[in-house]
Amino acid sequence: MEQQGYLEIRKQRKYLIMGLLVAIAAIDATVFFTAGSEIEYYISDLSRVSTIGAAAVLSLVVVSRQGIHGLFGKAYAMLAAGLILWVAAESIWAYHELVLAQETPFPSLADAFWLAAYGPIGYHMFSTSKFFGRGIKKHVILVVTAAAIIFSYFYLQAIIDVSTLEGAEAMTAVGISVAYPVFDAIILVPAILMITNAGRGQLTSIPWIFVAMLLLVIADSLLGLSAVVDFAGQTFHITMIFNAAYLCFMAGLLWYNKQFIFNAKNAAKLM
Amino acid sequence: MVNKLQFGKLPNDGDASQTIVRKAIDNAISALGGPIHKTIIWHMNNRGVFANPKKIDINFFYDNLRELLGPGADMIMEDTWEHLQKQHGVHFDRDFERKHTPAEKIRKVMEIGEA
Repeated sequence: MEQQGYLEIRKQRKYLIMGLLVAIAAIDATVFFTAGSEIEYYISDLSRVSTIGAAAVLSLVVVSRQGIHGLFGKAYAMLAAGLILWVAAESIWAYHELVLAQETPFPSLADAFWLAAYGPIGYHMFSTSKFFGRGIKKHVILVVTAAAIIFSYFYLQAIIDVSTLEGAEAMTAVGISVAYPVFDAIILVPAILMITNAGRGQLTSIPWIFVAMLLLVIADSLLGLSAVVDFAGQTFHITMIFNAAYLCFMAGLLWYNKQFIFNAKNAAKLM
Repeated sequence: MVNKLQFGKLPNDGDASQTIVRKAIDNAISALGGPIHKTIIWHMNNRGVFANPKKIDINFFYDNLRELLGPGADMIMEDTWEHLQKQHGVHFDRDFERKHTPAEKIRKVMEIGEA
């Protein structure tokens, strides 16, 4: 009975991974093959709004099903708040680009929403780290923290060195570009630690939300560098990473919704 | 080591200590959230961990919890131990506390209760 339950969980995980890979491949292939064309901005912006929007809707489903009590109740409510802020940010960005025809609107109101989301997302990451991070050795925490600080230092240097922005908004733009890696570095520490501590537990072997955050930090870092050189060159690859990150959020929320929140139908399958 | 255990409000009785440990486990899992509590208890029941309502094999429980939740199992065991300490005043001497995991300490409490 127990063995069958485990096999069913493994099967469901395999399907989720396959579904995730197919979704990433399909959406990112569309972004890739339309890069440089007239519809590039439409595809890039709409793909990001759709993927983060779907993740936000799923997070609301999770919150409505489990409530906001307990460690995970609060953590997932905060994740939902963060994802909604990112939906607002992506939508504002898309509105500027697609409706107002402003190419790469940076800095803009979207940045305020993006940056505001770090609070609730950070809460989610650090509070669930208490659960996923048991048993991590102190020296590993020190090494990862040091690596995140070093990454931030060199990244900030690179941003300041390559910055080509001029004018009144340049300081604001560089300031915002600096804020992202600082917040990212803070988020990066639990993300890397939880990923290195993963692989155990039938329900917990893939820390989806932490994987999503790692991808998001990579995309953010590339975007930050791109922003300070005034978005010279292609940025479709950054959109592809953002999409992959948002889809990982979705996968994590689907998994959590199905496996963690009690569901009699799924329970019957596991018996 | 046994004489250095302080039971506090915990009765020195096998059945009572089993009930209290079970309640502490329940509280620790509940702290994660109601629906997750239901899921974890369902999995444990499905594996026969709580088959005997009057007796919990703490090793069997811990092994199954680790299999299900990986490192999260240790948080539940730590919270269970913390609950026993706070609600029932159970304490070992500092040396024992430092050298043993929460699962080992809970097992010791149950062994002493049964003796």
